[in-house]
Amino acid sequence: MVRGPPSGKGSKLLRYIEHRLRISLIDGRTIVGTFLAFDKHLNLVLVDSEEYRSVRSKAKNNAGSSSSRAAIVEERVEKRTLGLIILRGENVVSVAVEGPPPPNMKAGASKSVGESGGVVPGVARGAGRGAMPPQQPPAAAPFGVGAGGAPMGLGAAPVHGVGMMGGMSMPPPPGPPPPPMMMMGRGMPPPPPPGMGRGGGY
Amino acid sequence: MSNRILPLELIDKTIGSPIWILMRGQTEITGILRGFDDYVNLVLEDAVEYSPDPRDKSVVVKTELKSEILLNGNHVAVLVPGGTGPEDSLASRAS
Amino acid sequence: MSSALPDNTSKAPEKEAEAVPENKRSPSDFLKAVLGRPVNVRLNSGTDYRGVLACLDGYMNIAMEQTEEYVDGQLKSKYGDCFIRGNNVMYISSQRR
Repeated sequence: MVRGPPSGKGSKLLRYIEHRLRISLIDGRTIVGTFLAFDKHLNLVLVDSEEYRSVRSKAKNNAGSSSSRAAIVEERVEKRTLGLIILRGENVVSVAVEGPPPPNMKAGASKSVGESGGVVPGVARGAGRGAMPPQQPPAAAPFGVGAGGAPMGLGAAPVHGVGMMGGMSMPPPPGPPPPPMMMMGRGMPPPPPPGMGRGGGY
Repeated sequence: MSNRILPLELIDKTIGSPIWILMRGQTEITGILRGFDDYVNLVLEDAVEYSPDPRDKSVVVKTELKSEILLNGNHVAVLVPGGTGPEDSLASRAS
Repeated sequence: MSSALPDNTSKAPEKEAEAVPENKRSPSDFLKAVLGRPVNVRLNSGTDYRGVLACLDGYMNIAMEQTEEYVDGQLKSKYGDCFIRGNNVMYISSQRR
């Protein structure tokens, strides 16, 4: 159902596997985590991830300031530890490299993953994930390039749809290759990969 | 590279286990993952919804749906395999 | 007449056993199971629609019957038939209550 990871832009992203990434989402959240994997939709797998969101709350400042008319709006950043997560590419606004692979990544990956996976017996078996067998260079599905891949911009995952209606499971977004400006998806249009097939006179 | 585990494979391995879903916005849902499709529409059992109280958005209301639900993948932002929700001890809060 | 009833005796082909691995249940399995049954449809706005799921399509556009609309948990109105555009749907839950 999901083809292998992309190659075109993928190779750019591949460089940052195991790095700490800071990702901002369209709803304003920021997620910082260690980058393990991704697919053509820019869905990401992160471990040891943390969520930061700024929460606006009216401070209940009963001590004396109740008379002051100005509503005290407290803006504070709420941080939560999420652990192992899958981040949907659709929501990604930008990705920044926060830091190099954490030192414990190679040796301690099993430990750190186990920590988050410990909650989930079913998933904990990912323990060795930090040290995966090297992967053969992804062949097909140039990322974001019109040709063979599914139409997609940055993070244009298949949207709504439920395989149903008389067995006619919804095909991925309609067939024709995306227009040349397919990189417009979400912020951060990457530099066009070499040889990006510009159809016609664009 | 550890790119062998694709995101959707990881979701597939979570089937049968608890999962914690952060929706776009403030709503969060937990449940046992029963299945999903390519759009990441999710079937959850014993789902519990955590959503902001309509009267006071800073208060989170927990609702046990006590049934199976089909969650529209359109609004899913983050999936936490094994996560049991905002009350999860792992989700340590800090300000 | 009653001697030969080949047609009646040959049972209609049994429903094909779903080739779904036991504990898996895909979204379309769920929808098949829930068609024609009472459901609760939660919109992103927080509004709930409770009624009988008449039909729906791949976009999660939904037609419901005997629908009650709950805004912030309060019953606001009732509709005999009601149509919901799929993009507003957060989830569909089967109603057991």
